[in-house]
Amino acid sequence: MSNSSKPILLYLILLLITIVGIVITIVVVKISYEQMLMKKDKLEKELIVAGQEQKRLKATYQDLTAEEYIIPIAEEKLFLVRNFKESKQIKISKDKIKNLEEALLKKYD
Amino acid sequence: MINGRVSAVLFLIMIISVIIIIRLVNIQVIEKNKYAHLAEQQQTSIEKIRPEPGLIYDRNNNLLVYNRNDVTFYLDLNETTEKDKYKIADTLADLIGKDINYYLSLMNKSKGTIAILRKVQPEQFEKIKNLQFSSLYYVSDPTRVYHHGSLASHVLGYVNKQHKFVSGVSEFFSQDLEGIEGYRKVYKNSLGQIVSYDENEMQPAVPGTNLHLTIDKRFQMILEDELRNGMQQFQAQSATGIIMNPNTGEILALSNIDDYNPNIYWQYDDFQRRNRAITDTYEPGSTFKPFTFAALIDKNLCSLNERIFTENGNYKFQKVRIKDVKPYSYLTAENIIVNSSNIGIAKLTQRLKDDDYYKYLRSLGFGNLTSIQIKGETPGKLKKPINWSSTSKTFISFGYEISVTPIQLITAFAALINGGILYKPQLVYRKVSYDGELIEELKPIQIRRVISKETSSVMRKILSKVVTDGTAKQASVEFISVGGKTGTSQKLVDGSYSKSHYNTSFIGFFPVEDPQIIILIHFNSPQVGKYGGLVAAPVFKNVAEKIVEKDFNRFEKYVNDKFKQKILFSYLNSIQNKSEKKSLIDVQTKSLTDQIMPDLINQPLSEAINNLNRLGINYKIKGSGIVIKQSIPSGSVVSENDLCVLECNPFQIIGATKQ
Repeated sequence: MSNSSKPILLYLILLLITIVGIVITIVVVKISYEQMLMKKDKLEKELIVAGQEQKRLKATYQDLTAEEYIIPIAEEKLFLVRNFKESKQIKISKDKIKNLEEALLKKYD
Repeated sequence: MINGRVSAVLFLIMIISVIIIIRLVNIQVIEKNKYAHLAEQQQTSIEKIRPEPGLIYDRNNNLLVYNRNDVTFYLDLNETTEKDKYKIADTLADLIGKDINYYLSLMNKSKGTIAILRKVQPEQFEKIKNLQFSSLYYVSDPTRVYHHGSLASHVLGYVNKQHKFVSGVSEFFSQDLEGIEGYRKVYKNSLGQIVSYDENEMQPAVPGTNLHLTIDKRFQMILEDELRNGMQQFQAQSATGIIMNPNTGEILALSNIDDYNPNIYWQYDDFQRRNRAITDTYEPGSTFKPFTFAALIDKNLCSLNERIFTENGNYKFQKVRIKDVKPYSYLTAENIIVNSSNIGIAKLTQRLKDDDYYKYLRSLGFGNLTSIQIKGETPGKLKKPINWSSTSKTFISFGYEISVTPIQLITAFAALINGGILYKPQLVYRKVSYDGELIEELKPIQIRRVISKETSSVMRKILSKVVTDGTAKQASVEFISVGGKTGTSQKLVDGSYSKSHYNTSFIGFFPVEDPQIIILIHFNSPQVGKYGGLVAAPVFKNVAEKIVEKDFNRFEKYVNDKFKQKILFSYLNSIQNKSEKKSLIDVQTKSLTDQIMPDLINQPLSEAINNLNRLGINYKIKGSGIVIKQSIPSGSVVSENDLCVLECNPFQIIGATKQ
């Protein structure tokens, strides 16, 4: 082989390697992309299933917090007694009431 | 020197290469489009994306129906070796818990592809999906879950094996519930497995619309429980109950017993799945009398106090005999309804012209569909006057020769007592998109005015007397005013009226002064008792009591004061009984000296009442909560039958000067 044809052959081999490299890169990227798409699809399905499970838990929670569930257990098993109305506590100092009474008396004397 | 054989081989290689190149050029360049199209067909397909159906809630946002993405596993027996069959059966038995022989027998008695595991739920699916058997594969098999089983089954409907909505609001609103199907272009490998999809050629599915029903889950449970108890007690063939808001037409509960579980609908027969409240008709009997009477009042054809001769319970009218259960010689027009006299109403009806009476009944909706939001409704039967015999009007007046559905009856009755407006019965009041946006609010629909307000007011009073003085005493509720009408009609069996099979019903409402709830209870052929007043009325009473208890805040203003004191007293008793077991209430008691009035200020009302009861003192209560004032000062000598007035307040004032 002559010396002048050696560089040409080298360039051809380099070009071939480059082209093959690019092709392989494209294929790898395409395969990765497709795999990610399928993973995304799978995760979306799992999200739907998780959403459905959340709904089921919501329904169960509503059952457990329903009056007709809680009251029999509270009364018969825990022996709790239900208050009809809550009372609110208001704290007023005696001195303040005394001052208000005096002020009222002065005004309407 | 070139070897001849080498040249021949080289020539052969060259020819083959040329052929290959020509073939490649043919495939890749000349017939490129044809092969690209074939590849496209083979490798790609359009996959439909099934949308998630809408959810169903009750009026208080309790979730009634939701979805679950189950899967079904299939096994291709042709591709499964005997060794693999055993492995698969063994693995599934471990994971699912069934006996290994179950799976083995399933595989051995079948050929081809079988469904080895149906409706596998997501948690179980996670365990099974990683099984490495090429002949075992799965397919999505979504399931509609009816969370409360058979609760409101006739209202909800069900989904059949073809994933179609059947009956109930599900079928009526199927277009809303189904959602919009999506699609995407997918790429498959040589095994037919999806390896990728095209994001640019994809239309996502739109989930279905969520429905909010007018049904109240609590009332529905009460109604179903009481109907079941009634069925057992009175040994009836079946029962139907409807609870409605008479001022809007909203249906708060609807039940038919026997019913079915939509989750396993295939295990029930047509009768159990049929919504008899809208499909089955019957002759309503005496529950129809108020409609006739209202027409007479509205047209000023009778006055409440006029006396009618009721023939001592046996009346011959144009060759037919009309009898009353209880004979009376004379009854006022009002008492004809109170005592449910067939003879009385038959006589009064003669004052109505046939056409007028017919128009009036049609205006109430009889012989017509109510257009309830469920398919399969029957219009019932009301003959035109031209087809009436000489006795038809008479028999219609007390509920024979006319057939109605329970939904027609309660809708018309609501119009009698709500001021005279006929409303369209309503089951769905709101549609909400999957992402929470309000799509539509369905308001109550007024159809027409059927009677005047004054007539409606008169009817309420008369129907109240039916309960206090008449045939429906067993419907009376101690703490709230109730009105209604009983009905007992013989059933037609083999072309003639039976003496042992009856339709027994009661339709009632409360409170009388401002009707909030109307309830229809109907029993088909009860064997124990036959009269509406003895069978249906007590069931109505139980339902009404429980509804008021459940929704006490709403009905409190209608509950009479005597009863409020009584429940307070029984609540105190319950405290005393429970204190022997375990009390979590720290109750401060002040020591008592006999016959000396204790200091009750700042005591909880319940405790104060307790103390007064021990002294034998009568009391009057103003307000509720904590005692802030007592009319008999503390330290005073008291005797039995003294009256102490307690003023109470929800607020407990600490630090204020005591009396």
